[in-house]
Amino acid sequence: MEVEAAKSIAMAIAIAVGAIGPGIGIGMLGSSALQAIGRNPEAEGKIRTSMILAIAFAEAIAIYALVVALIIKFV
Amino acid sequence: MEISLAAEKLFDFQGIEVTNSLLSGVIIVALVSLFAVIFSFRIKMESPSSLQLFLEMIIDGLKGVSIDIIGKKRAQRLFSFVFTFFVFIVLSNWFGLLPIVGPIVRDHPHYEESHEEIGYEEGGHGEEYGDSAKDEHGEGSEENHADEEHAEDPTVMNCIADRDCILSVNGIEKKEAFPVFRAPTSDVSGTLALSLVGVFSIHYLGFTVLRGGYLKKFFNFSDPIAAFVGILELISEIGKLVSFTFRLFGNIFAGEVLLLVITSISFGLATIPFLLLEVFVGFIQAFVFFMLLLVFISLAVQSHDH
Repeated sequence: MEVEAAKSIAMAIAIAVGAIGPGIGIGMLGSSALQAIGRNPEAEGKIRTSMILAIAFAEAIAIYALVVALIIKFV
Repeated sequence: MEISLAAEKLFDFQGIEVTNSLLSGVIIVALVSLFAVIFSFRIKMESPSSLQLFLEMIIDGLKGVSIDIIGKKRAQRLFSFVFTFFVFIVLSNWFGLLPIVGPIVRDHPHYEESHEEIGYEEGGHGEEYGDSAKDEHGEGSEENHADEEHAEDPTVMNCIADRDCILSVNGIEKKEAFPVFRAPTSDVSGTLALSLVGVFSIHYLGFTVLRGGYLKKFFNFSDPIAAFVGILELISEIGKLVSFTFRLFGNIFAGEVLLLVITSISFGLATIPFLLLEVFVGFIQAFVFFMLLLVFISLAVQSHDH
């Protein structure tokens, strides 16, 4: 198999598999935040702030996978 | 379509390689500082201008968020410092969306030295001449001995070492012209610098407030579990550095790649939703950096008793 073809396949697999975990994690974070808001609408501001913080942590993992994919292809 | 992970060098300044992202960062800092100094003379209490009201809205909003997170007294002391990060990061992220960032290009500096017979000028001509230069070098494989002479030429070695040229089967191939401006946060150097300063300030403020007690968080030998937790804390400091750097870099650089790909496969209004997405992402990443730095600093200055 040629190097370029292998690079493309590796890049695709890297980002595809790397996005599974954070996708599930962010979905769970969002759902628990929504439930908390439903139970206690007054605390919406605080809940939203904590949710955004936690989602940023989870998304960072997906971004690591993306950076690795870009490095595979372009370096 | 050429995408470069590393920032490209524009020129040398007293031993420092000035890259396109460094130049853009300096421009952003100069403009913001100028604006801040000039605007500070125009702050009015009686009938504020709308620009003043807008800036006050941003500052009050973020200060409210920080008071929610870390309490009023700490927010009073830490807010200005961390807000500076926010301002620089959000403006750097949005800088990459400006129309000046793509089209203004120049050729790689070393390539001009090693190939003087191809005399083209810098500027917008770079891309057109780039194609014709490749054609000429396609025929260069016939002149193999000339390439070997070139291969030992120090200017050619500099060209390859500085990533301005590629040594391929066709001879010395030039890389495409690169943009003169680039968002500072789309370069690992820029985000690494920001995260190094941020993490260093966490430890510095921890030492300043807690003196020697700060080390007790990491090196606590009273019982084995606390010692283990201390080691984990040390490892997570490295994790903070890496995550600050690559979260910001990945988001902004991937955004640039996305815009490049979308622009090349579609045209006109189709790029507008992606530009709006990048505006949003730029703001969110700056906000996340701000909040994380705030939370980490407040955790570092907190003594064990709380």
